[in-house]
Amino acid sequence: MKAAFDHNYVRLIDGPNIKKGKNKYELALQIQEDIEKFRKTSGVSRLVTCWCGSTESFLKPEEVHSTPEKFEAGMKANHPSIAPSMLYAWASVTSGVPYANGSPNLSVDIPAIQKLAQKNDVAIAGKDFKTGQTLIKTVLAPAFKARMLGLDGWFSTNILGNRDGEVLEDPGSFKTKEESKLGALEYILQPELYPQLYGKMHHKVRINYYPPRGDNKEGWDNIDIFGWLGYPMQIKVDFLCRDSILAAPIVLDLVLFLDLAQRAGMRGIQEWLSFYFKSPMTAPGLYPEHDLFIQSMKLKNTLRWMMGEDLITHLGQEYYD
Amino acid sequence: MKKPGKIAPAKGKLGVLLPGMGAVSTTFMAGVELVRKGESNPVGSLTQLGTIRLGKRTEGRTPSIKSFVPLSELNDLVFAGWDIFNDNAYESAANAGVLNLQDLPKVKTFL
Repeated sequence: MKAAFDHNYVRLIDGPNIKKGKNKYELALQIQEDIEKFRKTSGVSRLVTCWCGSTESFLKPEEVHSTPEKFEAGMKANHPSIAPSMLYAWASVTSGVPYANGSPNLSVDIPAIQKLAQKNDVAIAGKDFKTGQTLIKTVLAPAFKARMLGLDGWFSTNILGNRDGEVLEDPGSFKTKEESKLGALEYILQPELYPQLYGKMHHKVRINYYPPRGDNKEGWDNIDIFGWLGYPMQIKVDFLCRDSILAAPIVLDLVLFLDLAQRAGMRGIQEWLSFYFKSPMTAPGLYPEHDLFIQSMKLKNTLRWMMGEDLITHLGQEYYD
Repeated sequence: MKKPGKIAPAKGKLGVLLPGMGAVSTTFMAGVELVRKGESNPVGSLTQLGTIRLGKRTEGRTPSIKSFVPLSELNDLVFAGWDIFNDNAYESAANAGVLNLQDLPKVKTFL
């Protein structure tokens, strides 16, 4: 189907197969029509949307994103802070279709669409698939913190040659990705609670477009840690990963779990699916959980809770009575 | 905290809508098809390979996640997507260069 696309939000690619409309609202209505048409012609009983498109230029939530009414008016007025991915999120949620956001784009992470999700009883999840480097980061960082080992710095650099890499050459799109990649460490290490361990940490993330590698990304991490009495140590990680091979099973799990949540009547942000995201969405005022094993426990306990089974706390005293 | 109500059964087909039909989408769709045909394994997927411990460790109850919660079957998934390029999903997958020449022909008609 033709895409709703605007070159101003993804500057380094362009394509011919795009929707035309007077304003963003018309484009969003066309996406809604696509959804209804597919629903009828394919004979499906349920639908789920999962954004697998490009990273857009960096946007911050603002007034136009605050309520459904302001957002709709903004679409009609072609407001520059409404990116194409938001039109898909809006069309999906207003069509009663759960939506997962695999990119760091704000997309469904704005109050206007989250309120619509609540109102229309639609499950949503985001954002940015946790695939390679961040997956490893959210395994290693909790280990250092659990053992009260300090961190002077963490330097992460990547080379990749697929369209993702090409799009991220643009500083606007890179900024969106960088914010998403940087957040995890701060939240896991909580430097405000452990200033002597993490207060002076340098965290740097680089992504370089290097066509010969195609989809096969290489991510290097140099981690400067320190131990007892402040003695320094280093860890090097070289992850030769395949971006889409890591992302594909996440798409599958999100589609199946969002459909499950929808059938269970769970609406709005599905925080239990944080397991799959670099920048998990949460209720306002909550910090996200980034630690992979907290996320895994949260996911499995949610399944137990849904099915009326006892939650597992790993206390284990009952075996020694 | 509201207890979840009864979960409606996963009856009928589940449509998967994908904005962006690039490397990730096509690798996902091709993979689902290869697994459906019994040609490959869904490695990396918790819903397909994961298990979940229930009750005490002494009870020995560890069902697979997909038998524990009512998930849609892979055979019930149908796909649709949007993209800025005119390529069909096969051309897009071939262009992405993720899947090798053994796997790609097996999903050509499907894509």
